[in-house]
Amino acid sequence: MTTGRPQRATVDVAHEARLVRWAVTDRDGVAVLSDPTTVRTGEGPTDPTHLVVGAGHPLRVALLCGADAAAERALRIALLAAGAELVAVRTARETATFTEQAEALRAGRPDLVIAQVADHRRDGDGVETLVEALRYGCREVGPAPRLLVAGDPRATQRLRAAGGGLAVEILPDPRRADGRSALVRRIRDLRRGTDLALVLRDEAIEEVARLLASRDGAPALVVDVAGGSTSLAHATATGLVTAAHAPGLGCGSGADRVVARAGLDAVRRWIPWAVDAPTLLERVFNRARWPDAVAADRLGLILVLALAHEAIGHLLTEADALGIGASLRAARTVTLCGMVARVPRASQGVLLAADALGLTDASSLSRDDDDALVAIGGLAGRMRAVDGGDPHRVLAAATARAAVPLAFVVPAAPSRKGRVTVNGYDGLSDDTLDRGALFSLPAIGPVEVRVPGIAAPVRGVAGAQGVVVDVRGRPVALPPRDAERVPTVARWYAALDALAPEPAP
Amino acid sequence: MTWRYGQTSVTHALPLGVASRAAVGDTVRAGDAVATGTTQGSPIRVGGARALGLEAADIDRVMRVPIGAEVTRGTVLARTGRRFARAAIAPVDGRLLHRTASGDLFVAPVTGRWSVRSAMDGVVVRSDDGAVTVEGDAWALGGIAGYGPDAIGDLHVGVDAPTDELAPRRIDVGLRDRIVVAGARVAAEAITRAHACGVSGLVAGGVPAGGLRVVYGDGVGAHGQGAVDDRPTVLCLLGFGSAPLPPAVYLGLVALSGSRAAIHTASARLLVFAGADVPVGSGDAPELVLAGDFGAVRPFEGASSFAGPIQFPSEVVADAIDTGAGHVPAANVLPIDAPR
Repeated sequence: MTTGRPQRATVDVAHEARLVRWAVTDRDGVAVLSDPTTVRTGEGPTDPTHLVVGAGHPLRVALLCGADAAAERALRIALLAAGAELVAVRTARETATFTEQAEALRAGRPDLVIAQVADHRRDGDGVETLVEALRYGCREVGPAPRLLVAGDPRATQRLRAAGGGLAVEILPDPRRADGRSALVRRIRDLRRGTDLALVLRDEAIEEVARLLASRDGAPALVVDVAGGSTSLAHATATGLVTAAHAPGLGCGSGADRVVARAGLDAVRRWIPWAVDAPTLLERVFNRARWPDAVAADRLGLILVLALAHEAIGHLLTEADALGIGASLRAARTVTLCGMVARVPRASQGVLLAADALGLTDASSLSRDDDDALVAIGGLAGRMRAVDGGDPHRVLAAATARAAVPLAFVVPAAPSRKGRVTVNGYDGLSDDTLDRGALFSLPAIGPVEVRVPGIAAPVRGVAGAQGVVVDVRGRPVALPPRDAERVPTVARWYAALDALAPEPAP
Repeated sequence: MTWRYGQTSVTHALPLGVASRAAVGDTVRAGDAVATGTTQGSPIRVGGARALGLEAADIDRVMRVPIGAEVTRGTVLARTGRRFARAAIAPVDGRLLHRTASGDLFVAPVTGRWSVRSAMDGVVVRSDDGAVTVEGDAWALGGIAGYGPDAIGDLHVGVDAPTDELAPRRIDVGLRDRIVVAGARVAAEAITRAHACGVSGLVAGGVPAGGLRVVYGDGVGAHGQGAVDDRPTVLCLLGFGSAPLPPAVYLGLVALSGSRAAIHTASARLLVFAGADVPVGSGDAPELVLAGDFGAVRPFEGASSFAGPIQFPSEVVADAIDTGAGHVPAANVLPIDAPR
C-alpha cells in the first residue's frame, strides 16, 4: 500500500467459518482502512490486491532430543514462536523401548520431526536410534513426515543417513539466535504452503506488537485469543519480538482442548455463579463443534471469557517454564485482539487482562476494533516480507485509530494504605486504597496516577473503563471451594460492573 | 449429515506390526478382517552389516529373512561366507522388525495379536502398512464425533420418537450385536449397560459430555476418540447433551432398521448396507440451532426471517434470525450439512 501500487486492496481476517473483510485505500502513502464487512469463507473479493490473514496449515511437530536441556529448551522456544503444534517429545535418555518410541511417534502423526544432537559423543547414538524408531513407526504412513536435523555437525550427517527414505533438511543450531530464526521461518513457510495471499495470523499479531511499540516508544504486548489459537506477542521499541503462539487453544474450535489441558475446574473457577461441571462441559463441547457461534446468553459469554483466561494462562505457564514469561509481561501497553476484543463491556476485557496476565506494573489497556489491527498487522507483514516500504509510516495512523483504549490498569501492593489520585483531562479524582479492593475511577485519555508506596506518578492512557486500581495482590488468589470462590469472583465482576443484568423471567 | 446413498470409502488406519493385509482388489464385507498383526515386546538390536563385514547398503543382499517375518530363536537372519561363515542370528522367538541405516537389525518377541475389521462392504482400493481403504456403495449418515472402536451389526431403532432418550431399561441381551438408535440422548448409564449386554454400538442425536468422560476418560474431547480395545462405540450425530433427531434423519433410521450397518468412528459416520431403493426420505436438509448458552442443539424447520442486528441478553450485538418463538443469532443457525 504505497504510492505507485494499486490504490485499493482488501484484507480478509479469517475466522472459523467467516471472514471480516476490510477495504484498504492508499491516500498519499498512508493506508486507510474502511468498510468492514462479514462474508462467508470462500467468497472471493473483487479487488485484485487481496490478502488473507489466517491460521495456515496446522503443522504437527515431534521433537527428538538428546540429554542437553538447554538444547531442548531452545527448540521449544522456537516452536512456541513458530506456532507449531508439539505432538511428541522423545528424548534419548528415556527408558522407553524402540517399539514404544515408534508407536508414540506414529500416534502423534507428525508432519515435521526435528532431531537435534547437542553433543555428538553423548547423544549421537541415542538420537540416531530415535530417528530409526521414527522411520520404523512412520513407515508407509502417508504422507511421510519431513525430518529437520540440527545441532552438532558430526551428528547431523549420521542422522541424515539414519533418516534415509524421509525428506531430510539440515538447519543451523537452534541454540543460536540465527538457528532459531531459521527454524521459525521454515516452520512458517510450511504452514503457509503455496498460498501467496496468506499472512499467518501469528505473524500479523507480531507486526501489530511492533507497530504499537514503535508508536509508543515503549514495550507493547498483544494478546490474541481466537476461536482456535492463542497468541502473546511482545515487542520492544526497537522492534525486537518475543512471542508465544498456541495453535489449537482458543475460545471456539479449540475450547475442548483448553479444557483438556487446563482442566474443567480451572475454567469453571472464573464463572461468577455456580455451574455444575457436566453442564459446563456440554457447552464447551458444543461451542467447539459450532464454528463462529455467538454467545447470546450470559453463561455463553462468561464461558468464552473463562476459556480465554485459561488459554492465556496456559500459554504464559509454558512461556514461564521456558524462561520467556517475564519478557512477555514486561509491557507498558497491552492490546487485546480476537474474540476477547469483541466482548460487549470494556470492563470484561479489563478483568480478563488483569487476571489472566497477572499484570504487576501499570499498563494502558486497549482493544482491537473489529479485527482492524489484525488486518493492519497482515499488511505490515506483507510489506516487510514482499512489498517493501516502511510499515510504521504507512500504517501508523490506521494503527492509532484501530487500537481503542479500554483502561489504565494500576496494580497496587495490598499492604499499602492511603489514597490513590488520578490527574487527567477531567481534573483530579481520588479514592481510598483498601486491601483487596478493585475499583475504577472515571478518566479518559492520558492520565497521571499517584499510588501510595510509589514515589513517582505512573502515566498511561485511560479509556471507557477509566483508571482501574487493583489491590488484590499477585498472583490473584481464588478460594478453592465454590462457596467462597463464587462470591469472590462475583464481587470482582460487580466492582467493575462487568456483568450484563440477568434477564427478567 | 443427512442420508446419502452412493459410493463411499472408508480408511482403516493400521497399528504397528502388520503381518498380513487384504490386497488391492479384494472384496470384503463389513466385519471381515482386512489386516492382522502383532504387538511386540522389548526389541533386541542384532549386529548386522558391521558384524558380517559388509557395507550397510550390502546387508539386503545377504538377508535370509524378509523384514517383518516371524522368526524363531536361532534363525539365521543374514549370513556371509562359506567355509568361515559369519551370521546374524535371531536371539529370541519373535519378529524381525526393522533394519537400520547402519545395517543392524531389530528383533522383538511377539506379545499379542490384533486384527482390524472392515467397516464397509466393498473392494479394497488401497493397502499398505499404514492403512487399508475399502470403497463400496452404502447409505451414509455423517455425525460430528465418534467414540470407541468401529462397530458392525444390524441397525435397530431403540426409541419410539426422535425426541426420546434411550432408557437403560430398554437395553438387554436381545440387542446383542446390534447398532441401536438411541434417539435424542444416550446417557453414560445406557452406554455402559449396552456394552455389557453386547450391543455393538449406539447412535444418538446428543451425548452428554460428562457421560463421555465417565466412559472414555478425562482426555475425551469434542472431536471424537477412536480405540482398538474393548470399549463401547458411540456415534454422536448433532451435538452434546440432548439433541432431538430431525424427522428426516429419524425416518431414514426407521426405514433402514434391520439392515446391516457399521459405525466408522474415525470419520464419524453410520454406514448402512441396504439397497438404493429403500425409501429413506425426501433428502431435505433441515437446519440446526445452537442455544445461546451453547447448552443444546435442536432441529429447526419452521418459518423464519432475517431480523438484522439485535442486542442479545449477553449484550452481544449480532445478526439475528426471527424464528417466531424469539430471536437467535444467525451464526447459531446452520444447515445440517454445514461443515462443523
